[in-house]
Amino acid sequence: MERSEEDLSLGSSEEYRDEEKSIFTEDMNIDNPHEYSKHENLQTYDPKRQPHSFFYLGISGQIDSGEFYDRDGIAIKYDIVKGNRWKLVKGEETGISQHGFRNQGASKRIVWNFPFEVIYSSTNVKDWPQIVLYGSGKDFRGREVIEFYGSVHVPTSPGRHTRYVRMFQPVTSSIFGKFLGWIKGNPASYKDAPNLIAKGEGREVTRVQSGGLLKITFQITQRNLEKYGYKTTSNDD
Amino acid sequence: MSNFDTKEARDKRIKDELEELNNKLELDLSRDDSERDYQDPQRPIRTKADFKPEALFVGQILGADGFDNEDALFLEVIFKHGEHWKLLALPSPIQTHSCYPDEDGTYVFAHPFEFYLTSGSIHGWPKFIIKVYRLDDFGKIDAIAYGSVTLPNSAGTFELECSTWRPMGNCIDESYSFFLGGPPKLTTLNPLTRDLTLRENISTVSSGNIHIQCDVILKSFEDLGIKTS
Repeated sequence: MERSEEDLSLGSSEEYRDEEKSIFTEDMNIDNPHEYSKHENLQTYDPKRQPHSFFYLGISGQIDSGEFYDRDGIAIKYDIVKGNRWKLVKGEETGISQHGFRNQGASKRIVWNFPFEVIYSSTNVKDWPQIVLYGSGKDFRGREVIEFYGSVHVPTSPGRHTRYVRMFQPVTSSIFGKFLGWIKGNPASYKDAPNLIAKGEGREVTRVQSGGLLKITFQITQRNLEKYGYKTTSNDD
Repeated sequence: MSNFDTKEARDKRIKDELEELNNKLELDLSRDDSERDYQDPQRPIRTKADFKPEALFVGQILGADGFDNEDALFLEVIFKHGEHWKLLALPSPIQTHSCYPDEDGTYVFAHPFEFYLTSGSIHGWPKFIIKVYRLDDFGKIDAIAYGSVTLPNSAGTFELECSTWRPMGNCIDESYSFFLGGPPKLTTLNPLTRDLTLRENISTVSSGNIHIQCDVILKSFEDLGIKTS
């Protein structure tokens, strides 16, 4: 068979074709505020205009594993909660993992290895993003029931971080309520999650007990926070 | 110069004056800040307000351990800062849920907090004042321990441990508290941080530890020459 020249290229030729619009062009693409052509270095000089740009926070990582005493078959759902000023640039803010079961041995560790990647842009560090986590399992009738809650703030310094999140489960106040909840597949749960978990207000009247430990690895990338004057890490490289 | 200028002379005079004015204008322009920024467009234009120091404390009250107790515990956390500090965003008062201990005696609170302040002085760095309450099976609430911890002053992530104590009474008070609950309490929180001389008169009994995770972002402290790490 005769090989044409196209077969020797690395990928489809469309991907590597030069963009018709050069990044050095004067025309600003106002539709997409995050496009690279709006980089501060390349803009034309205009003394009356502030070089306003957002700062970007890239959050990537994975929900590694966890230990939940004797419970098995847990799926983790995550939700990222942040203030109104933070705009989502790329990625998914929520996700549901697979149901994980323990290995047959004595270890109580459940592994999900569930990755996430999100990029946010903002102009102020107020209302720093948090990840709210829910652990849910299937009850005796196969219904999905959320049992564990937990939350962790996204680390503020760039680089790699490991966080161990302690989950808690709400406790019903009476034995009868507990039984009813077990039958109906509807145990004590929070009504206004994720805000209730993330803000902490309104939780004073609830009772909980410890649920388990979850390990999350984060990788934080930041852009332009130094230009705003924010110092996020003590490591001076 | 005669009173009657020729046309050329007049034109020349006007041209000279215009040139002089032009030169003056150029000199003024070059003294402008924008000239400096044109040479270095990467440097952002910062106003005086950008140099006011700000600090963001973000984190969670993780939990507690070391309390020899089987009842539920909850915490009330008071955020205290100096007079030259000002809160930029209204915080909510922190009162955690009530948590029952597990086999190791650890309690999980997982109560997130966020404080955004602007500072006028390094005196009065923010602190937490923690009051530990016990909730027993009959629904009775009792303050059983007190503690205070200063929040970190350098940027980064920190795990803080706040040790707590409670005041100790005489023999009768102690046995009362052992059998029935209701340990001696402080009437005011002043001995904790505000008026430390009051501590000369009290004896205390040690209690458990509170674990707090705190992330700190600082702004413009380094620009003013304040080094914290």
